[in-house]
Amino acid sequence: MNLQLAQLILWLPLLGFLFCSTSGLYIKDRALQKRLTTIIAPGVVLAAFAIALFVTLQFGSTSREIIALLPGASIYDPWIRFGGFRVNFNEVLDPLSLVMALVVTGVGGLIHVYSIGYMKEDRDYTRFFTYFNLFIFMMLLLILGDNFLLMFVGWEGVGVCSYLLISFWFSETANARAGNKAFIVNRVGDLGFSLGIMTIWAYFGTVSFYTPQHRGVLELANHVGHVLDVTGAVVPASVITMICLLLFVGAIGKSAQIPLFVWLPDAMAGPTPVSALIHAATMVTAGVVMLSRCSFLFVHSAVALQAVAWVGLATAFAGAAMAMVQTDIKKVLAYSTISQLGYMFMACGVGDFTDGIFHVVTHAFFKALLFLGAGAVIHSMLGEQDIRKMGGLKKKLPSTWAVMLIATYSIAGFPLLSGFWSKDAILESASRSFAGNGMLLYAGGLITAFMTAFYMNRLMWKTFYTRERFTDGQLHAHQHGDSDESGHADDTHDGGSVHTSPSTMMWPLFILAVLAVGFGWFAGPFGPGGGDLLRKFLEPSIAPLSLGGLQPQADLLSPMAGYILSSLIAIGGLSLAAVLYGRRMETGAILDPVAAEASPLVRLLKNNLGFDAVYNIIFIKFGGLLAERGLMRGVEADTINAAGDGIAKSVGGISHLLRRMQTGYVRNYALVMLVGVVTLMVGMLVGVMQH
Amino acid sequence: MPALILFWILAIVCVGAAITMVSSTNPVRSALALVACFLGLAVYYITLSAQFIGAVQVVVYAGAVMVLFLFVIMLLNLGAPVAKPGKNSLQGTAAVVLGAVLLLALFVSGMFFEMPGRAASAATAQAQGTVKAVGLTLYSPSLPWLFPFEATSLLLLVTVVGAIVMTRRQV
Amino acid sequence: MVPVSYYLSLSAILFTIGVVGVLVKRNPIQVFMCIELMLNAANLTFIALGRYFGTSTGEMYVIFALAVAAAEVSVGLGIIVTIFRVRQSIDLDDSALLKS
Repeated sequence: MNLQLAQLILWLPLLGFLFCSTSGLYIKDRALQKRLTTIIAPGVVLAAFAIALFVTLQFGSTSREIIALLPGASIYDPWIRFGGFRVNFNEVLDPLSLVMALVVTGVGGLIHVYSIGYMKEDRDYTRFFTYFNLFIFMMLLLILGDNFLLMFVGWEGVGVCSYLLISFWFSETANARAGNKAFIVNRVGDLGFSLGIMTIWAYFGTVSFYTPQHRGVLELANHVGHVLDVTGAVVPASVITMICLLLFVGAIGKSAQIPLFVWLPDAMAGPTPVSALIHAATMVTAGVVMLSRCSFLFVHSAVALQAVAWVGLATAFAGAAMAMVQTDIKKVLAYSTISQLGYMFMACGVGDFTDGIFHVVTHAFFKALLFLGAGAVIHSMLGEQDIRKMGGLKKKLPSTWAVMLIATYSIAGFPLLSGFWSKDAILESASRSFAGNGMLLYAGGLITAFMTAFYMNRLMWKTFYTRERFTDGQLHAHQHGDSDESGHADDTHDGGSVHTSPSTMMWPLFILAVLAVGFGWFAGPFGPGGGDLLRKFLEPSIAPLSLGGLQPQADLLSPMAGYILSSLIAIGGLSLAAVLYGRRMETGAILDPVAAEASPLVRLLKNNLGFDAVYNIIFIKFGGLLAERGLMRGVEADTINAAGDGIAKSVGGISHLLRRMQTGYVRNYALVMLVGVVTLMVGMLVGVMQH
Repeated sequence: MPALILFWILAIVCVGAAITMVSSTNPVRSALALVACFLGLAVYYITLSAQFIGAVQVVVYAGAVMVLFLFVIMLLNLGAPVAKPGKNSLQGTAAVVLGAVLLLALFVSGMFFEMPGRAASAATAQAQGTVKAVGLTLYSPSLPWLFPFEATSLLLLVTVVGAIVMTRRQV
Repeated sequence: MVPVSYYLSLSAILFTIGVVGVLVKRNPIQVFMCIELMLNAANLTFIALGRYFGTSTGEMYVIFALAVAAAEVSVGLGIIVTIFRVRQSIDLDDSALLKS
C-alpha cells in the first residue's frame, strides 16, 4: 500500500494555488491564463479526490485498525524546534481524515467545476480560483495534520480564505464589512482554540495526535478512565475538562454555534459557490471534525460533552427558528446551515461522533446542492434574493427545481433520503444520552426537525410554486436555448437559468443530487456490507464513550418506531408549509404567516436573536467608548504621551543647560580631556595607596 | 660627577627653553626655543649611549620638522595674535592648576614604582646605540620590528599624498 | 652615572609644560610645538629606560615615534595652511565651528 502517494492529496491543491496566484506574472495572454486556470484549478482538486479515493479503497481493504502515518520528508522535520517544544510536519491518514478529505476534495471539486461556468464572466476569474485552491489546501491541512499546530494553521488558513472569498467583490462596502465580521468573530473562537493548544502542551508535553509512535495526545488519552501525559503521569480530570471546553470555544467560532453564529448569515455576501463550498459544505464543519478528532479527550469529560450537546441543541433550534422568518433565499440556507451544524454538535455532545461526521457528509451534499440551486435562481432573477418577490419559477427553471426539491426533501429528513438516515441516527443517539436527559434532547431534535421541514418547504413554495410575483423584465430565464450570456454587462451573472447553463454547471448538481439521495442509504444501517459502513470504517479514529466510563442509556423507542416518528415529523413539516403557503399564495396574498413584520418575536428572530445588537452595544459602543475615553485619552494621551512629552521636555531642559558647556573652543575640550586624565591618575594612585 | 653636572646644565637648558616656548607669544621665538630644547634632548640621548637616535633627533626634529614649522610660520606671515584680554582666563588658570596636579601625580606614582634589577653596564649600553646595532635590530627577521618599520614607509607615503592633496589649491 | 629617576622626572616636567602649553596657546602652530614637546618627553623616557634595562626596545619605539611625529606634523601643518587659506586666520578661538 503506497501511502507516500497520499502526500499528494495535500500538495496538489497547493500546486494549483501556486500556479493560479503566479500565472499572471508569466502568462501575458489573459485568455490563455483563463483557459489554463479552468483546467488546472479544478483539475488538481479532482486529482486529489482520485488519490484520496484510491488510498481509501486500499485502506479499507487492508487492516482498518492501522493509523497510517506519513513521516514528513526530512526537509520539514522537525517543523518547529524551540527549546523543548518540538513539532513535526506529519500527516495522519486514518479513517476520519480520509472521510473528510474525500468530502472536501469531492464536494470541493464539484463546486470548482460548477464555478467554471458560474464565474466565467468575472474579471477576477483567476483570483477566485486562487482562493478556492488555497482554501482546499488549508482545509486538507486542517484535516490531515497530525498535530494541533498543523490543524491550527489549517484552521486559520481556512479563516483567511473565508475572509478573502466573502469579500471577494470587495468594491462594495457591505461585502468587505461582512468579511471583516466573519474574520473578527472567528478570532474569538480561535483564541479559545489556541489557549486549548497551549494548555495541552503545558499538561501533555506534546501537541501531536499520534506521532511519535504512541506518544501523541490521542494515544495518551486512549486509556479507560484516565489520561496520561508524556512522562506517564496522570493528567487531572479538571484539566481535561478545561482543555475540552477551550477547544469547544474554537469549534463554536468556526462552526457558527451560539453565541458566535452571527458571522455566518453575513458571510452570504460572497459569490454563491463560496457559500456552497465554505459556508455550507466544508469549512464550517471544521468544528465538528475537530471535536471528532479530539473524541479521545472529550469522552473523558462528561461536563464538556454536555456543554457541546446543549449548545448544539440550542443552536439547532434557534437556527431553525431564525430560518423560518427569513425572506432572503441565501439567508434561509445560512440559518439552516447553523441549525444543521447544531445537530452535528448535539451528536458529538452525546458521544456519537461518527453520526456527527455522517451528518457532516450528507449535509455537505444536500446543502451544496441547495446553495448551487439557489445561485441559479438568484442569477436568473438578476440578483434578486428576496423570496417574496419570486414564485412560479418551476416552469422557468425545471432542472433547478428538480435538484432543489431533492435537496429540500433530503435536508427535511424525508424518508430514505440521505438526510433522513443521518438525522435519525443523531436523534436516536441523543435519545440515549449518557446523562439521562435523552428525552429532552430527543424532543428538541424532533421539534427542530419539524421546523426544518417547514422552513425548507416554505422556501420551495415561495420560490417555485404559486403565481409569479415579478414582472417579466425581472426574469432572466432564457427562452432561446443557446443565446445566453452574450450582451449582458452584468459580470457576475452565470448564464441565467439552469436549462441554458453549460454542462459543467449541471453535472456537478446531478452528482450531488444522486449523493443527496443515495449516500445515506449507502452508509446507513441498511446499506451494503451489513450496514453501518461509515460507522465501522470510522471506528479506529473515534473514541467509544466507555473510554471515559460513560454508558448510553437504553433506547426510548425501538429503531423502527424512531424511523416512523421522524418520517411523520418530516412529512408533517413539509405538509404544513405546503398548506399554509400553497393556499395563501394561490389567493395572491403576499402576507407571510410566520414572517409578519409587526410581531416582536419575528423581529427578534430576524435580528439574530439580538446578538448583533448586544455585540454592538458591548463591543462597538462600550468598547469604542472605552477605547476613546479610557485608552485613547486616559492612557494614551494623558499617560503615555504625557510621559513621553515629559521626558522630552526634561531632556530638552537639561540639554539647554549643558549646551553652555559646548563652547566650540578646542582648548576647552582639551582641558576637559585633561581633567579626565588627571582624575584617572589620581584615582589609580588612591587605589594603589590603599593597598 | 661630570655626568651629573652635565645633566643639570642640560636640564636647565631644556626646561628653560620649553618654558620660553610656551610663554612666548611670537611663534618664531617659540620655534627657536623648541629647537634649543630638542638639541638639549639630543645631547641627552648621546650621553645615554643612543648615538644614532641623538643624530636622528638633530637631523629630523631640530632640522626637518622645525624648518617645516618655521616655513609655515613665514608662509602665513603670522605675528603675535591680537591679545584678547579677559577671555578664557579661567582656561589658563585651570590649565596651570591641572598641570601642577598632573606633575604631582606623575612624581607620586614614580615613588610607587620599583625599578627591577640593576642597571645594565655602560659597555653593553654603548654597544646598543651604534648605527650598526640599531640597524641589525631593526632589520633582524627574528625580531618584531621589521614589519612595523616597513609599514611606517607606507604611513609616510600616505602622509606625503595627504599633505599634497590638502594644500593643493581648489580648482 | 646619573640615576634613571632624574631622567624620568625631567621627562615628567617637560611633558607637563607641553600639556599646559596645549591648553593655553591660541596659535595652532604653537599648540603643535607643545605636542612635539610632549612626544619628545616620552622619547626621553624610552631612551632612559632602554639604557637602564640594557635593551634596544626603547630606541625602536623612539624611531617609530619620530616617524609618526614627522607624519603628523606634515599633515597637521597642511591642515593649518588650508584653514588659513579659507578663513584668513588661524586663531583657534576664531575656529569655533564645533558650536554652530
